[in-house]
Amino acid sequence: MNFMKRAFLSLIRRKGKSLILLVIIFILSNVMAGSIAIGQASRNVEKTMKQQLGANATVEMDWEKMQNWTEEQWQNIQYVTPSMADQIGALPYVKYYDYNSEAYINSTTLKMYDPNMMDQQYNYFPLRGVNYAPVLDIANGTADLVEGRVFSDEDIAKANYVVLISDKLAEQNNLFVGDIVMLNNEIRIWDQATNQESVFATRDIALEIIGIFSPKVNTNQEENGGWIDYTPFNRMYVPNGVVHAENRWMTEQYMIAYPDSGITPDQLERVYINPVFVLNNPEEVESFRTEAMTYLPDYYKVNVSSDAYDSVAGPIKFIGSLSNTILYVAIGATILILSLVVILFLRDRKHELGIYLSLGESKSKVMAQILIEVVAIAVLGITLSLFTGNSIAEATSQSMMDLRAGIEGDGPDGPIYRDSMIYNPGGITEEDVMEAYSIEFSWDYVLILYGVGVGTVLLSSIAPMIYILRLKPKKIMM
Amino acid sequence: MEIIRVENLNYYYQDGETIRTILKDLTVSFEKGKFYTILGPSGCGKTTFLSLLAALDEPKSGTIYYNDKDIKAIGYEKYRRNMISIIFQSYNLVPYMTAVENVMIPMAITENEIPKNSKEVAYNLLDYIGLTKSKANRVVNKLSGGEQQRVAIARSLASNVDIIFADEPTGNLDQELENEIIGVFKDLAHHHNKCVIMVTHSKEIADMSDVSYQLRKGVLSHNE
Repeated sequence: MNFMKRAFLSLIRRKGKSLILLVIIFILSNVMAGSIAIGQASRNVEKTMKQQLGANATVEMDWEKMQNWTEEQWQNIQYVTPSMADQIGALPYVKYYDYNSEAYINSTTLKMYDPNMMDQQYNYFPLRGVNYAPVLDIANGTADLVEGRVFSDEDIAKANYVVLISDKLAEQNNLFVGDIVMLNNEIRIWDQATNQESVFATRDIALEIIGIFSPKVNTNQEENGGWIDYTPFNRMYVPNGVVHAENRWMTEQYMIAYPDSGITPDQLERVYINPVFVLNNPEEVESFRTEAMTYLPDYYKVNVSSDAYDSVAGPIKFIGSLSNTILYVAIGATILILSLVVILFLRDRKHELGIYLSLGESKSKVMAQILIEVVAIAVLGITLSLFTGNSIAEATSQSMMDLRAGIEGDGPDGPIYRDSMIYNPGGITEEDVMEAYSIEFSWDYVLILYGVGVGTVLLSSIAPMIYILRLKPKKIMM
Repeated sequence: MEIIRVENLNYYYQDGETIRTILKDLTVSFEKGKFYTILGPSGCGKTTFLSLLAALDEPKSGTIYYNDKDIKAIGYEKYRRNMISIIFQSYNLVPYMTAVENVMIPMAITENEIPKNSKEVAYNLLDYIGLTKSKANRVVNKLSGGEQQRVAIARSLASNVDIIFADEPTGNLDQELENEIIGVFKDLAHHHNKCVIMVTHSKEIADMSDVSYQLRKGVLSHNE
């Protein structure tokens, strides 16, 4: 009749006490299981969505840091140069990178794609300069190449006048791979004497279509809140050199048109770029952010695509944080309640413990017997709560989301990054995040629940063990 | 043959600044094969003396030797585990276990050599003290007081020790049962070479023992 057999006999012969302990542990385990399942689900959403978003980083000015700038500081502002982008692009975290310059060029022959737009006088097409020949948007899956090819390294290096246009734009204007697109880079000035706008200078740009792409844009008006951005359909991808040349020509013409404008010749060489870095591993984002900042003036900041998740994950983060709080409270309550209940039960069994001690049993074995009894009941309670806790988590998740919706609706502070220019290639929305949220019965959940549950029960046993250590057999037995 | 020896044993209770002496410079020895009684009125310190002999408490001064070894050096827990057993007035059995299971408890605790078929040994011990197998398989709180005390005696024999301490074991039993149990103790001493030391306030029981001591005002003397 060693201490393990004694523990077993105690469990099966003292059914009432065992059942009471089981019910208490089962109830508390359910709270822990529910919190863990909810916490797991919110972490899984974050992981899945961040993986879906990939690890794309952009650089932009941190306007908050520039709020109190002097005029001199504004005059000496430094823009991100291609060489800075190249230095950051050479960091080991970067898989590939691109930097884009933009120009808006009119066309008198092409019609923009927008099913809701009437014919208009001007059609300014966004030209996106590309340095990364496979085109970043196609490489990261926000657009598909449906015909033709992407740029060659030679196209980029020599700034060949070649272009990729969208399938919708091509269809609307009856254009095919190999056709020439004609744009008109023109400078319009306002004549104050006649109070009329006139064309000061114009030059034709002929771009050969080498590829047709299809942007992945949700055109369901209802899902987009009644507004659809058709820019991706009208965007034209060209080598950066083409954009630089056209921007330079425009600046030259402005210098001529407005000699007193203060535009200096060095501004002709100024290139405005938006770099995008695709990282090898989403988990290296913070290291990349830190190292990239060493190449940038301190008034810049690095935005990462996974930040987009943070901007729309308010309800999930709320649920995750609430579930964590509930878990900590449940652990605390379990330790307190279980400690008290086990001590109460031990007081009932004081004579029994005294018998073992008077027979020369070591206190460690007496403690082991009690620990085995408590842990055995705990394992049973936790096992039962694995299933019920999961169901509770499912049932309570919706209530918690509704609660969050209520708080968001009433309070002044919504998600803080909602209006920020975060690079969000997948265009994920709060709805996407909510849809990705699901309570799962996974091995992780099982292991964490057993770990946390048994750990909590062991912590709850500290006070009862101290009680045993303080027992004096003479006082009990004689 | 001397098995336990007490030298200059002192014990007192301290209540604030008041010291109440219980045992004063006791020196005595006990031998195997004898049934001893320690007689004295209630509150004279008999149970305290027994608890010191059984290492359930520690003397304020003085030494208890088991086979010439200080029991403190042996270790109180080990001493209780392997060298002695105790029978209490209120039986002190584990209530949710059967009689035979109660007897088997010390068999797993002691480091003394115990036959492998411990359950059979337990049944035999219960049979020796007069408990049938069907009663041996009953949960102890379904047994009468006398039967429970028999289980406690069987349990004290289970760890195969030389010394048995008994703290007024017949205090709750009728005369007939008392005589039976005293008979068992005498048998254990005389035929099984045990040293049985029993605390009692009954002069009749003291008269039945081989050696009787009287404890009065903390001093132990031969009971004539």
